[in-house]
Amino acid sequence: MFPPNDKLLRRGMMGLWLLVSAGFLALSGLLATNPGAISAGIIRMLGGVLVGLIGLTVLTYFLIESYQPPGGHFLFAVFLLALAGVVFLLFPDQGVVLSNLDGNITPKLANLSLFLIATFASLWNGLLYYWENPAHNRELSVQYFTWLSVLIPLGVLFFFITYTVIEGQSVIDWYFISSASDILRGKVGIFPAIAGTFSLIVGATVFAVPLGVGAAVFLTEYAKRGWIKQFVGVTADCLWSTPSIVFGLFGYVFLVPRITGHSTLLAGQIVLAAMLLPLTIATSTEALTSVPDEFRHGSLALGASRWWTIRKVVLPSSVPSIVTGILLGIGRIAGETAPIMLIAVASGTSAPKFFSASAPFFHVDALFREVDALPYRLYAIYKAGVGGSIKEAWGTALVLIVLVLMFYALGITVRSYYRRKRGW
Amino acid sequence: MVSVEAKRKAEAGDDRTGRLASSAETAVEIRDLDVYYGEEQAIDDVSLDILRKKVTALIGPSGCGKSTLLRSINRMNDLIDGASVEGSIEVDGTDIYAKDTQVSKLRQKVGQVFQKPNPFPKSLYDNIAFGPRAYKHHLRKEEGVLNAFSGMFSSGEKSPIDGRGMDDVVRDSLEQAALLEEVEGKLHESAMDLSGGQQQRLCIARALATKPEIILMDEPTSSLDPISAGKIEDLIEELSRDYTVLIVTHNMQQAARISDKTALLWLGELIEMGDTKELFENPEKEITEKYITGRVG
Repeated sequence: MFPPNDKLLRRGMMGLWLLVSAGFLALSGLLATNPGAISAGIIRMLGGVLVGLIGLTVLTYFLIESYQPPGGHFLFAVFLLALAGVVFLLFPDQGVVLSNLDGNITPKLANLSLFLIATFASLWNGLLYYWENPAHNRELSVQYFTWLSVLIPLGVLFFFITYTVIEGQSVIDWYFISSASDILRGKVGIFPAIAGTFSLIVGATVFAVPLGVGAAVFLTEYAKRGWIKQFVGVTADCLWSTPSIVFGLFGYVFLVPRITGHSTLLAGQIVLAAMLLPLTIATSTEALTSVPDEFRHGSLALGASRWWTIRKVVLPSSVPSIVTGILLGIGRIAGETAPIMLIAVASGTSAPKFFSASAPFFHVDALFREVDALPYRLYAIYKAGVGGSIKEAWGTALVLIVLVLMFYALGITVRSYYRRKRGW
Repeated sequence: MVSVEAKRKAEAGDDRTGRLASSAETAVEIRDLDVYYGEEQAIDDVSLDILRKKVTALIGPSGCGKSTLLRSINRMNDLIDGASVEGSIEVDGTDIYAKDTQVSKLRQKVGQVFQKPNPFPKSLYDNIAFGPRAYKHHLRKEEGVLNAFSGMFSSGEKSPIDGRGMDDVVRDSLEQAALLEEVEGKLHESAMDLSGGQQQRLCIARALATKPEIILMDEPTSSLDPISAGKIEDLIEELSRDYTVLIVTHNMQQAARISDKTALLWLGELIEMGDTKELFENPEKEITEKYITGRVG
């Protein structure tokens, strides 16, 4: 009979299974390395994890049994999954290979197995909860599974950000973000890369957004025939899924020789704009389509022209969704390394100088110079050790994340302003 | 050969064909109107006159072309793909389907209120000022820059339609739509926060702000609760003092209560038109009698 009908039996199976898993875990930990290589640290670590796991298991069961909270099993499942995540993330392996020629298992497998055990245990628990309830109560368990689907990405995101902050914060100081590297004094600064990425994003947005929104207005408000919309839609999707390096290649072959012959900020902006464009078109079209026709009719019936209707009614009510789409796009292009690598960046260049205190105040020629960019700087440090150590790489990553988040914050502000104004 | 009696009846608008002999009283004159949606004919050879400053009700079963007829008068049918119109509609003696018709001006003169209240997601004030502001925008294009800037150095925004201050226009329109008391002090809050009935009255106020002569109403109470609907009905009676109202309704009691003239449409054809009282009490055609007593439809 599967699943077993008796509640106690199921619990017993669960306990037995955990016990067996723990045994396997301990075994794998012991077998993990060659006898000579077993370090006290690894054993202590595994022992600690095991004791912790068993202790927390007992504790959770105790809580569930005494308390009987709805979805108690599920709490247990979530707990186990969280534990699995922590184990997986906090105990890295010393070696890279999973097994060597002698058939020995490296500690990584031990960690991995703990991770897998905990994952399976958590899923088993979720299923138990599902089985143990009559059909009308299963709703709850389904809800919990969907919560789980939220928790996991949130956990991953949280981990990414905290880890980057922990690793990167030590190198971040005013000099790091406000100056260029000073080789003579051995100080690292990424201001040129910040300014470069900023210029690339702003430029790409300036090129892409009017075009994208314009295309969307044409498609939703003026294009009469369905096939044009479909054609443009499919084209935009294809463009969006084109690998970024291909954009880079096209820029390298067609743009670079026609601008200056070497890498330029302008070429980078244009190529990134081309990448941003399809998403802008798609999301803006979606946004404009979702504006109810009643608004359009109401406006036209008052004697307003189509363009006035679009300007005063349709666009303002779709700004929030359009902004969301652009944000997604910016999030993508801000971190793009491949396309700009060929056409816009060079490590160690100074920040683009658009403005100066003396005439002519605005310098267009900054557009025609190479720039540095955060993702590229990250790549250069990480891969080639150019311009800093791995610590600086984490610092650069942190700055990049913060920069993107700042764009997000700006977008969210705009969005909520218009949403409040819109009131539906 | 027309008898004196028939002529008298025709002048009194009592010949049940919808046509009038004299045009001084006519706000809209529809002649031999056919409307097609692609291949499908929605209106078949309809001729009728709509009297100035009276409430005319269009009744008939679903899909009989009432709304189509209504939308033909402010050319909102233009927005529907494949719609085409034959015959003529004259508003104030001007053919609105003539080539040089300015649709914007027509729609400013012929306002429309929709079935579902559709205020813009803006403040009450901006909703009502929308029409005049749009008018100003078009004025700038049509009548030169000087007019558009004429109000620039005086204080406050002015309605380009009658030159009054926009604040006055907004308040007057709300007053006329019997909404001012309820929204006093909330003019700059979102119109989306109003109740359905208030939203509908706001839409009426919005239509009034462009100083229309004719107001088309497409089942304006069908999405409202009985009390809100009652308020709208009262309002329509009020409005008929100053405006020509054409209302499409499914509700025959409503038509009987508020309208002066009633027209019955059936499968795109005009069956009968006459004084509301006459039509309901003493229908001429059998089909009218059947419809108003609920035996067909």
